[in-house]
Amino acid sequence: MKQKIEEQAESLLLNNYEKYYRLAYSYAKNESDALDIVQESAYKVLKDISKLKDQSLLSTWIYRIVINTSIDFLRKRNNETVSIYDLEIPHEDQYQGDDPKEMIAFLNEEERTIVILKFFEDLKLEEIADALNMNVNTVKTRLYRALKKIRVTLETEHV
Amino acid sequence: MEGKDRLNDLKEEYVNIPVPAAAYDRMKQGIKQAKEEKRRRIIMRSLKRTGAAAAAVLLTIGVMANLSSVTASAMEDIPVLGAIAKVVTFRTFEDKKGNYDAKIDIPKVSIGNNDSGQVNRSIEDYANQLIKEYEKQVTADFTGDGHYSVTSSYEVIADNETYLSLRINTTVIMASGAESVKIFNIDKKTGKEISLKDILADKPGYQEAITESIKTQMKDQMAKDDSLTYFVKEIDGDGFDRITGEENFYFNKNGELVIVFDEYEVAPGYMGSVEFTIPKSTVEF
Repeated sequence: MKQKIEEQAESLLLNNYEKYYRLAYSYAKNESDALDIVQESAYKVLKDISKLKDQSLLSTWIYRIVINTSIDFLRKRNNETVSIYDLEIPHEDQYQGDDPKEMIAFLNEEERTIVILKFFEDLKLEEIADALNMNVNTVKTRLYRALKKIRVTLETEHV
Repeated sequence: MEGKDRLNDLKEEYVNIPVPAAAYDRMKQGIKQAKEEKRRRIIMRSLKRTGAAAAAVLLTIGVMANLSSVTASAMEDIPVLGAIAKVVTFRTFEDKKGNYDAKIDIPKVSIGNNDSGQVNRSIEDYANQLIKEYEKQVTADFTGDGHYSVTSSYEVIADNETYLSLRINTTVIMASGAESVKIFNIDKKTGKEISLKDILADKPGYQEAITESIKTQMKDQMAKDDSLTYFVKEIDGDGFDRITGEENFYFNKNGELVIVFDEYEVAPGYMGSVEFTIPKSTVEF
């Protein structure tokens, strides 16, 4: 059984390497750091796989490791001691333009990750909650706040 | 612009992040790194266990020897080596219980008129550790679904005027296989066992010279052939650091010193047990 989950993890990592790379890139914002994050994440996944109790959570667990590795990496790079999650954006205004690059820059790391996982990687809210280690309601609140910032209003069934 | 379009723009921007081919390779590298580390850890654990068993063996040696002579013994002549050194199978420990099996050949050395008692006791101690570990595995298996197989054989790898070198190869198979090597070197003049430490004792600087030679050989081999991997401490943070004097060794027929490492000791498992020949230009005995 143990052997099997290791193989599963390995094939997820290799088959979806582009997804994990993009997610890492969304944090690192440059190729060489994103590559470092990818390697480090793969290493951690295989090394700590025995700690994963519920095997059905494997794919969200991998996202979680990529996210945490990215955050660690940024923290080291910026030599910061505070989590970027703690950083408050000074203005909560809405973004008024239409440039996607600027739009995404308007969100903080956490909001951006939620938007990426929800709309670009099609994860369910429960899965996002699991990947970010927070409860579903928090994810929902943050998601609405993020969408509001970039002036996206959706019918409730989308979320 | 509608909210949905804005999201689609964002998504397009995101999926168009170019992914370099290196991302796949780096993923593989991370996986490989974790696997190698894991394999080494498993071996370290089993080595530690064997260490504990070895300590227990020392106390019970007398009893073990008596008991075992009842178990089984096969006397078998091995071709006579040179005029004076002779190695025979003193006894063979054989056992099979379900998924457990053991076949351990225990050699006995005699060299001329020398008293080889001490060497033979070391050889037997080593074998008894293997037997003890095997029996421990059998008795510890309450559910009856474990596996353990141990095979140990020997060969004379060198027999020259000065030394007789007897190599014991042991393969233990549990979840995965592990191979270990023990070489007994016997000084033919005295009939006593000698270690690398002994022969380096009056050779200042040799230890460093051997260490450097091995590191250079590791690096050269890796540079020439991608499929070879060695762990060097100064590069990998773990692996070969320096010669301690405890290593297995022998002298080949050219009289060159050969250092033998166990599987996993200085290289990942797929490399098996590895050997380095130290040229006479570096050290000469």
